[in-house]
Amino acid sequence: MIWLPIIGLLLGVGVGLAANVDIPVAYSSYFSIAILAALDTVFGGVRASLEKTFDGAVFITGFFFNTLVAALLAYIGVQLGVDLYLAAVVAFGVRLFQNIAVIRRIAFGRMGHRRQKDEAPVRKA
Amino acid sequence: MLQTRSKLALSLTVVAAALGFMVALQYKQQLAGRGALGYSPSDTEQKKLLVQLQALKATNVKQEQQLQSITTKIAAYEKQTGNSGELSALRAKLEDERILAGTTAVEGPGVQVTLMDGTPPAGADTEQYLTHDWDVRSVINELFTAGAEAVSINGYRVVATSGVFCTGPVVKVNDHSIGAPFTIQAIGDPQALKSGLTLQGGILDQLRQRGVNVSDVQLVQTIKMPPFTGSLPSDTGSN
Repeated sequence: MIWLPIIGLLLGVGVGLAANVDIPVAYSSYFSIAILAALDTVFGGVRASLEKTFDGAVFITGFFFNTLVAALLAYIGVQLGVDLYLAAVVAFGVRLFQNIAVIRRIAFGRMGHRRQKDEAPVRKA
Repeated sequence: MLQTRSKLALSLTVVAAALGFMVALQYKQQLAGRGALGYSPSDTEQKKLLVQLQALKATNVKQEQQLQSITTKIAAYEKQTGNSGELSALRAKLEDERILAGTTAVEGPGVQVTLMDGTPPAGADTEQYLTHDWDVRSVINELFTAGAEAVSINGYRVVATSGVFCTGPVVKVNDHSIGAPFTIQAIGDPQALKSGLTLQGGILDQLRQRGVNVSDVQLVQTIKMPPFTGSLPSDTGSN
């Protein structure tokens, strides 16, 4: 079951490499910001699932909505001459690191619990 | 519990697929942008061109060897043509013509001069201190006018079809790119050639006045010059 997302990721990469789709150079920066948003959403979803607050509908809509809004925001920023692009990069970057940090903490916490259960049931913290 | 887990996996899969697609697309784009700028050994088109270039170079070497052997054969045949007065007179004439045409290596007394870019003082017009193609051309023309029988620039023989052209920072002679300093050698009457070049207000004086570094004209006892190795226009050889 846990392998399904990874297979999906590989499938997406394969399709992306095989497909003959080109992003015009002018939209390249919007696309990269959209990728950042998507990455952020995925890590947010992983974190939510670890915290057992995961909601499939919220996750799916969040993914596509965030991606589109990020690109749109960057576009508006270019039109207005404000570097909203940078704001989005910073915001998503910070959130990305936070999410990864939480995931790491939860994952290590679980490993620690298991080890305590396996090896030294007496020594309880 | 199981339902939420399967839902989780499903939505994660969908999202991961979309993310993977986007990332792959962007990666491909970046790769294409980089490939357009420089040489990449994985590019099949460039590989093909490289192979073609190497093949052409190999053929070129082979052809030049062939030319060399044919030339020696011709020389051998000419030696066998006998020794009657008329024939040897014709042979001498042929030899003279060949020297003028530049198709044989020559050796003889002559002069040598070297043109080098000058060093412009700060704020001066750099153009003025460079050795240009027309400077080289003027010196060569002066040498031919003074009766030079054979002229070479940095070891490349100048013949009737040779040109001296500016191509950016270098000069092209017989399709060879050469840069400064230009060592120009000429075979002929050394005194006549030297006085032609060192004429008061002549070409070398003009160049020195402009700031180009011109060496003294040296008299050389024996100059060896290679034959012209480029291709001649086809209509020159047909008659």
